Amino acid sequence: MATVDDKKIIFSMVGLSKTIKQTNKQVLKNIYLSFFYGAKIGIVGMNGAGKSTLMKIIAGLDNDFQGNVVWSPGYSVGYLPQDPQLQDGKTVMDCVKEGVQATVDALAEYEEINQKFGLPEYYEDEDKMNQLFARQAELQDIIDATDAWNLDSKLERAMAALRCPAPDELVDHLSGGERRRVALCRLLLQKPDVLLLDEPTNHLDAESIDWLEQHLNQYEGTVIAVTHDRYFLDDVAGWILELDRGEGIPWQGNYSSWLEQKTKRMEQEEKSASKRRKTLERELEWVRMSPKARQAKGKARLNSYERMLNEDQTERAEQLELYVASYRHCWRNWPQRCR
Amino acid sequence: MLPPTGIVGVIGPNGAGKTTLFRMIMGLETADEGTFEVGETVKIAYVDQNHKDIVADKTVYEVMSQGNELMRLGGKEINVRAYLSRFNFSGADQEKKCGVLSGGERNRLHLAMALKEGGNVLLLDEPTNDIDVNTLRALEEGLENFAGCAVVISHDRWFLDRICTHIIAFEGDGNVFSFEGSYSDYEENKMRRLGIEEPKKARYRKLMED
Repeated sequence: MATVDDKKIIFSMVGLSKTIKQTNKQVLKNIYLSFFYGAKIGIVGMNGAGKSTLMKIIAGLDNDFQGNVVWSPGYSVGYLPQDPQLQDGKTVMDCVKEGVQATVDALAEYEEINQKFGLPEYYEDEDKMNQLFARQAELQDIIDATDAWNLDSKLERAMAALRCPAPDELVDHLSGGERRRVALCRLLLQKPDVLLLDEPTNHLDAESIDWLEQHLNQYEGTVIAVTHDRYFLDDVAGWILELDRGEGIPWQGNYSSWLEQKTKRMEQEEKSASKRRKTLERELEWVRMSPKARQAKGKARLNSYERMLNEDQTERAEQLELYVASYRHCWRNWPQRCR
Repeated sequence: MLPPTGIVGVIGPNGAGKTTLFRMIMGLETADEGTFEVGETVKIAYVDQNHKDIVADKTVYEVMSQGNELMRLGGKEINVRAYLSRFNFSGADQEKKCGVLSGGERNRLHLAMALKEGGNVLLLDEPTNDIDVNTLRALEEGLENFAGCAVVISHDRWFLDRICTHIIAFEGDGNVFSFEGSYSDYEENKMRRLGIEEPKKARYRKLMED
């Protein structure tokens, strides 16, 4: 948005280090990073690289670290963990309403004042009545400002966007995926300045993911997401923060652009191409292909049965980091009718 | 009909019957109607989530080696430690007990077990869950180079787009749609079939009105 200065720093990490006590492993090493207001950041890294730890530190849930996280005053943070907590005994609607607690409270108080107008204790006392009128006017302003008179229908619309379970269903028996939808809905309604999302697209269907991507793209605040979803990283992220052996390396751009920059940097650093670099290059090549070329590639595979049979599979497989074996001998006997 | 070098992505919500399809391919379940034919020489490679060899208090190496330092793979002898390292298990990782593995590590171990079995039809149940982008990329390349047929349950759109030649979609109410093409092609086809022609962006409704 034009009014938002995206070069305003919302918080900084100053010499941040973290060692996991049980294993004595240093997962974050002396990280210096500043985060812009409104930036959309995707965090990538191996399992155990400290992604969730970093999120918990930003969320203020983990204070056992060295160095500092320095906040500009007045900003709010909201966090969606992998297994969000919902209070048993509440309905889906109750939980979603927690996301707009201030509005819910204002509506409740407004209703309470209306009741009081009918009590002799108040209508027989002019001072008390005037106090009530004044307070009611304040509340009316709050409710008008968020246009919350039909709050329930608004919340139902939000729940529909994320395909939450029925509003009156108890949360006690919801599946993991359903709980995440409810928690995500509640969090998005809170509109924190910094939105921390741990694997936000897990358990969401294609349409909800599509909706979420668009919602986050126009989100005013900062979004920091740990994710392996490369389309999400491509469509939403303006920055990629790579965690590698304790270091945090920021790259400006989305996933495709990260691939490109990373390949280029490896090219400069290496005399001969490593396996890792070749793998990155092949993915980049795929990203750059037109839809037609991608289709042709699929067709080529289907027609490549004879060639794959005769090729020296071992040599090709040796080049891979992750090995998927080939069993070409079995193929000699593939039933004729299937060929 | 599964083509001999096809890579088939299986998609759909949980509980729609994806796992049942796997069990039918393996002959563990029969169809109510119609028949399910499996070619005589098809050898299926599959490891389910409750594999009997994966014991919580055994290490990754112990489970994989079953006491033998060497294993046979594609007609060649190969060192078990070298094999495991190809699935990104470092020396230290190989000594971890199976019970303490993270989701991603468990998935990689399953994959290593499935591929050790040998076979020409590879069945993979959610191999992309909890796996980092580097491993995902390597898995994609591995499958591209696999000289056989693979049937993969996954939610990862990028993964499906990059490697799948076919999509089998469970679309709800028992409807199964099979499609030749990638995941994105399938999505486009689905929109057309359901009569949704406007571009995706236009369908976006805000969380709340301003």
